[in-house]
Amino acid sequence: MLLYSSSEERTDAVVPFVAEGLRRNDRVLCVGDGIATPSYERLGSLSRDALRSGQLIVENSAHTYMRGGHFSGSRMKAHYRAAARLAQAEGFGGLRIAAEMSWAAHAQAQPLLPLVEYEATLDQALHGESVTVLCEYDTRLFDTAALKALEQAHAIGARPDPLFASHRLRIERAYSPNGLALTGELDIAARGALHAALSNVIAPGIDRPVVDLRALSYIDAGSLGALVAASERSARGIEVVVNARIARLLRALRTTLPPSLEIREAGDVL
Amino acid sequence: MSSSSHYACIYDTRTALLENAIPFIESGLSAGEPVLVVTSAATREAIASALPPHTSGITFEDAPSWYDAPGRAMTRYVTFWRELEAQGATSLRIVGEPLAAPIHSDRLERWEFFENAVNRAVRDYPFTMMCTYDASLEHVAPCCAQVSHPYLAHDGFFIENAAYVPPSVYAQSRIDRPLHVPAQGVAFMQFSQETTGDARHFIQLASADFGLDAFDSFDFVVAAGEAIANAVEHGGGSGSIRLFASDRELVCDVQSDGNENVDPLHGYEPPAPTGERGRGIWMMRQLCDWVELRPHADGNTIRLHKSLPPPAA
Repeated sequence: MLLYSSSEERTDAVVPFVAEGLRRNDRVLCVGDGIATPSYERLGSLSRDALRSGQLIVENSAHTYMRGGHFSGSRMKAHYRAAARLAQAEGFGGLRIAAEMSWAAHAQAQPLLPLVEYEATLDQALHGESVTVLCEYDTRLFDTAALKALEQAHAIGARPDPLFASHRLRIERAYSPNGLALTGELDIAARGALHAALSNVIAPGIDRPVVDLRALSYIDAGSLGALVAASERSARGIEVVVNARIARLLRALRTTLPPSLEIREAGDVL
Repeated sequence: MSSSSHYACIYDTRTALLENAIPFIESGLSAGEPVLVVTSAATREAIASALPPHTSGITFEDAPSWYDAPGRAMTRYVTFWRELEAQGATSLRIVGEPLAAPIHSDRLERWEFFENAVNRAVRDYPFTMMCTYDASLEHVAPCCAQVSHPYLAHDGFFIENAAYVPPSVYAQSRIDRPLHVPAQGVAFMQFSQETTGDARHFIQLASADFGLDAFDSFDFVVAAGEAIANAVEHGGGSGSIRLFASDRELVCDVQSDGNENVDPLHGYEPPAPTGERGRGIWMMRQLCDWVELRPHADGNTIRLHKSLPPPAA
């Protein structure tokens, strides 16, 4: 299950999921409200060729989940089971489904209870078939209670791939608010990755990136310099969110930090 | 010729202090120059009572907290100045009293170094500085004041100080002295480019063992991390660490096996707030209580000192 809060976040998670399926010779099924395929642009020729060959199939939720104007869990399970068998018969390695679920929020009669029941039993219904399903929920469209119930119905949560991961450091793109989240130890070994990640969020459409450093257990002078340089490049600066130790560190160093780097102390997440 | 000037006023009586400090302060104030006075409470009291009531343009600060560590004291001068400069000031007059706090004799050496390094660190700043020294304090005259001030204030006049030693010469004489290492109780580790993270973890664990709290331990690891990175980046790519407790401090030596030469006077002046590089050694001086940079024939040693909490009663 993917919980996303911007189309960018969704794209960053779904494109690699689809691309991986195409690479592995899976049949890939994208279902949604006309926004089913996440981004032909980012998939490039891979998606064009796959659409032509039938490896990639796009379905509309109005003809699947809401066929005949109402949702039926058992019909959907049967639909996916049949699709899995067809994929196998056509020589694909397996079936990968990326299902955008906004239709459930837009449906006239809220199918929440049957939907939660369907989500909770889907794994069981597809047992024995080679199927991977990614259900995508836009957190802006569902209320907290609904999202919680839906989350409990999924065994695995999905997130976009990190921008950088080593045994000491992880840099992830954050979407709400837009920025980065860093975990581990930030030193010279990751300097290039840090520069690249910062360039990624100092971009048109991102007003003022927020860089979450709460889960950092180490930061060096050069990384601090990279944050300073990024804050100077960003039209409205950047905001860094820090734990108590880094907050004290930055207070001690504040005479060498520009106003474009705004520091906000928040709870420790270590 | 530098744009800053640095005077010492060694006084034995309150009268001797005031006949030098008050004209110094007043000539600044009459020219519209902001004045910063960082002294003991007693000196502050003496100065304030000798000036006309409600004198404006003068800022008093408490010496013991201002001069808590040489690196931080220098940064405070510059930070204070940057704020004034942003408001349009063109120069600053400072009366300082670095030895106002009771200082143990084994800490005097670092303040002497600081006072000497000031001549280099503030050379590009429009500072006129007078440091006042109570002559009754042990070691004061031969140590901090004499070798570190190009001029002496005496009887209301400034005279050139024949005993002054310029920073480059002074620093060289200091780095030739051997670094003391205790015979026992020294933790040791070698590191290379691949094990810098392990070296930091080693220091973190050891500093907690020696009694630093989570915050001080974090600061110490960040400072040592810069020294380790320095050894790997600019040195021969490897080095070693020695950790031990000495004189109520945790001491960490980071030795690099390479021919990089560090400047013992480096890192006192805070880098500009907009630059990406150049914070490393200055940062060590902010996070530690004393930092010694020792170039030698086959590499260099960076010695970091961090105060240990007093032992529990």
